Amino acid sequence: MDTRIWGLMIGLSLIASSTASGQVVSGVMTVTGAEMH
Amino acid sequence: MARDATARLYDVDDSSVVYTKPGKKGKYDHGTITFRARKGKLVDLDKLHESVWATRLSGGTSSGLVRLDVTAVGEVVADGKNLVLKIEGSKKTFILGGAARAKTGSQQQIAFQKVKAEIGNGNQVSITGQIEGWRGRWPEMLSKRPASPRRIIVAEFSRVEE
Repeated sequence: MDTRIWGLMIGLSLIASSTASGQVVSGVMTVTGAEMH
Repeated sequence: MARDATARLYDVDDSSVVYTKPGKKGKYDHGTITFRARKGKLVDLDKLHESVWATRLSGGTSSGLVRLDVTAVGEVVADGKNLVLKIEGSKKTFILGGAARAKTGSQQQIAFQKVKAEIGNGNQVSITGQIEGWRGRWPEMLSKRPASPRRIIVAEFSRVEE
């Protein structure tokens, strides 16, 4: 997995675990550049 | 293994963040990252923005965000000309909009009509749609301050059962 995507996943994991108040129940991010050949 | 490590470090429900890539199509493939707030919590999009920014994504490639779709629950109210979703348990709001190119009778068009019919009814509704304007290549798209409140282009609608 590209490290950029791994970085995003870490960030999202933190958000998913630590947010006490926010706006959305769930979401889907569509990204590009997921695989560098 | 990496996902398990994150779950241990951050006490994350490891099913709440899922990465999928629908097959290789070229040098820069699309992938999706699905996330979900833990029970009783909501994901804050401002913090999401900060979190992605903190990964220090560099430029010079075609890597970036294609789109962000979210599901939010709240009450539909009118604020001047705007249709607004007041988030349950929060002071935060979204502006709701219809898809500019939605065809008459399409799912998106019908969903937006149903949302408009909910104005002032006091019902809790679930809205799913794309966040307008949050897309582009890293890191430029992250340097732009998000609109406040953000605008959701409504794609799906349902009432939340009590």
